[in-house]
Amino acid sequence: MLFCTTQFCWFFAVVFAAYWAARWDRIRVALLLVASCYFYASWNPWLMLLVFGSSTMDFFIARAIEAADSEWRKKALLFLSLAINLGLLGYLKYANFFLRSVESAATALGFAATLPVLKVILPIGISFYTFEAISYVVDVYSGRVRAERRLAHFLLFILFFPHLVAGPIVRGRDFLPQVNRPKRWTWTRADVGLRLILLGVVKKLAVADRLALYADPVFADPGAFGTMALWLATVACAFQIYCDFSGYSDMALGLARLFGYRLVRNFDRPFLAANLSEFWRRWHISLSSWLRDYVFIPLGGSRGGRWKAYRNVLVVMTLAGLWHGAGWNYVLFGVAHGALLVVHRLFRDWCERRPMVRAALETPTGTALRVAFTFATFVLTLVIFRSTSVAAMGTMLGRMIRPVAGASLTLAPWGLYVTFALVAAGHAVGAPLRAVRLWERLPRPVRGLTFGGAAALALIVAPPVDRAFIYFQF
Amino acid sequence: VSLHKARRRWTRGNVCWYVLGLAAVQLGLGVAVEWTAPLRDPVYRQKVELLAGRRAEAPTRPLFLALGSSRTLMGLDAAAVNETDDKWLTFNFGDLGAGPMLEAVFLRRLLAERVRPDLVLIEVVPLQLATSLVVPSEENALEPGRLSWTEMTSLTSYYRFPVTAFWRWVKARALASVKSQRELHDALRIDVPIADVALPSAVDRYGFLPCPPPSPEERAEAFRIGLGRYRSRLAVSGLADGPARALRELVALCGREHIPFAIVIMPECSGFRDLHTPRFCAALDRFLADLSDAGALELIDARAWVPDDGFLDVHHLDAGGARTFSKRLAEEVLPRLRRYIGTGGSNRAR
Repeated sequence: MLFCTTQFCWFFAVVFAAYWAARWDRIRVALLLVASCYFYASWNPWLMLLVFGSSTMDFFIARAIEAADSEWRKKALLFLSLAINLGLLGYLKYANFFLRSVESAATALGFAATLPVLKVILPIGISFYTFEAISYVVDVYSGRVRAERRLAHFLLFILFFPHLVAGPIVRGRDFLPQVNRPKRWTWTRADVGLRLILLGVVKKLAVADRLALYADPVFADPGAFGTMALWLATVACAFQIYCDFSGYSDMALGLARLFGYRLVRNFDRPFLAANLSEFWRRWHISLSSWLRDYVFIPLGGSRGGRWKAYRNVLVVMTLAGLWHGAGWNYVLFGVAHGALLVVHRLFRDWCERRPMVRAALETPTGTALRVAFTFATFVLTLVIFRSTSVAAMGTMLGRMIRPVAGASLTLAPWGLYVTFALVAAGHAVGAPLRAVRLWERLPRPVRGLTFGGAAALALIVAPPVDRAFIYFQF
Repeated sequence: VSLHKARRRWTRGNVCWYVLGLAAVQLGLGVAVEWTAPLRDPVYRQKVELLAGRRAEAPTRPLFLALGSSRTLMGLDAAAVNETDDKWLTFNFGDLGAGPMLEAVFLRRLLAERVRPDLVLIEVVPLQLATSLVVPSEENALEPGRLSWTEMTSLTSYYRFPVTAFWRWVKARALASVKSQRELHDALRIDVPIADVALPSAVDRYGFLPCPPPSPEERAEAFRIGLGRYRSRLAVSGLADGPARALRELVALCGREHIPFAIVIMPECSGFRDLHTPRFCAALDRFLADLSDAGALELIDARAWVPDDGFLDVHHLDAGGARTFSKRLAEEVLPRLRRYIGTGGSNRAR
């Protein structure tokens, strides 16, 4: 059930009406839980049971950790939970990748090895809810959060349908207190929620799905296209992934807001980042901060010397790459970003010792150049992320760097330019407070017509075929 | 407290304006679709443009226009007819799911656009006249959003469930950005292929939809499914009132407009023909006789014209079957029809 479908609209309308018609918060929680289960089960009821089962186990393990009287017992329970969660994630998402990789390595070394292919279905959103569960158990272990007493509340934290399949990755300490808080209908909630949903719909339908029409054919056969088309398609791909995922996040935030819940912001105009380190603070914020809190800092963070910090950055970014999918292109993407972040740290240290260079980089022109450089770097690394094979990646990068003739885009590019301008304008006015102030300054009828017009336009310009959200596969 | 109340009123007002804005834009789009024929019915528009193109190529040739359902759309290879008989310009105006109601709408629209056929071939689909269906097949298949309000109101007397049809029409207009999404999207000309990468068009230059022949296994499977599907629908004794009246009215329209017309029953596979009960066949024969009396030049019963291996399924021809049918129509029937028109007669043969 995709957010931008009639089926989901009906589902949401029914749940929303029933939710606010209910008088007691317990019933509301139960209703949201049932709705969330139904939402997930609409993909695969059996996998729903798996999510339900693993979450229930995490709930009881967290309770046991809190009740445990010895450190070793707490640790053992924590490792049990980590083993279950990471074991499921590893088996369902990475087992075949691992087997394929071993097989390829064995073949390369001259051994004739044929390993079996496991027939497993990847549960949708497994990377998201696994990380949520892990963060909760770790937080309970470290005493940052109290173990939740009510199973229904905990299950809602994991299964809440707006964030279940593609994030943002919520933390127990942010979400669980909200479940306990009594909910009262306010029009402000509806106002903000509807605006966020509209923003998400526009990003998804009017930008991401359309840009896919330009990018997909080029990435499918990069050798046939000229340098200009390759660059345009790669920029289109960058904007597509951004609008697809941030569009989903906006819709998730808006839907949650309509039920009285606040989810964390997942994107903050990432293409305005002046360096890659800032980029990762603006892109998929909930994952970046999760990796920082639960991997980077436990590994030692920036403490323990420069080389340890570099090692930790590389480890975290490799994991970030692997999180995105079971494929070497994702691993390579993570490694590339890790290496680039290390280079950035080195460059930053170098600049620290040269105040004039630093001052020049901080001028408006310097900042613009840094933003452009960061964007170009991200776009180039995206080729690794998106390419279907190492050969295709090499072809594409080669043709992008060394100008070559070839086919142009298959669609008339004016629609692409308009869309690029739209994303750029969104970044320019998109600072949340500024955008809200601008919006509220408009006369109400204009706001209403803009709202209706944007919704209608998004529906009209969307390609006729429904496209799943890209991040569902992760 | 008053500040809080004011804030609440303010945000409530915002939400109301969003809803109003949404409704206003949808209404505006609905009106735009209602008033802009290409947006309302792009299938018809495409056919009219193709027809205009062919007429411009052969302005002196009299127009032989075939109105009908998917059987005609996939069964009449107008180009093959034109190859055999170059004195006429034959054009296939068949459409998926069309029956006498939509055919009458098409004819009225064409006349309003000053496109006056010199001869019309009206297809009768016995299946559409069967009483067994709760909702007659054309009523079920015809998307009311394709019709203007005037057309919709003129057709309701033939509907068994006019309220449902009106409701579907209202939904089509009220949710124009969803229901007419494809048409509006195409009208914006956004994300269109660049000139040298033209998309293949489904219908050919003469409005014919050629379907490649299936493999014998695929055909056998299609026959099995089709016969199972239609067995109960054709096990009836009488004719449905609405479709029959619509057909009579279409014939009367041709009469009023002095447009010569012939009636055709398109080919059906042998197994499908056998599904019709004797009582239904008798009722159909009486009905067709009435239609013939109303001025039809000829009643062409082509049900057995094509052997079973020319079918895509039980009642749709593949490209080969369509060619067989079209050639025979051009060689045997068209010259006769031309003679009748030349002598100014009607109801000449059956």
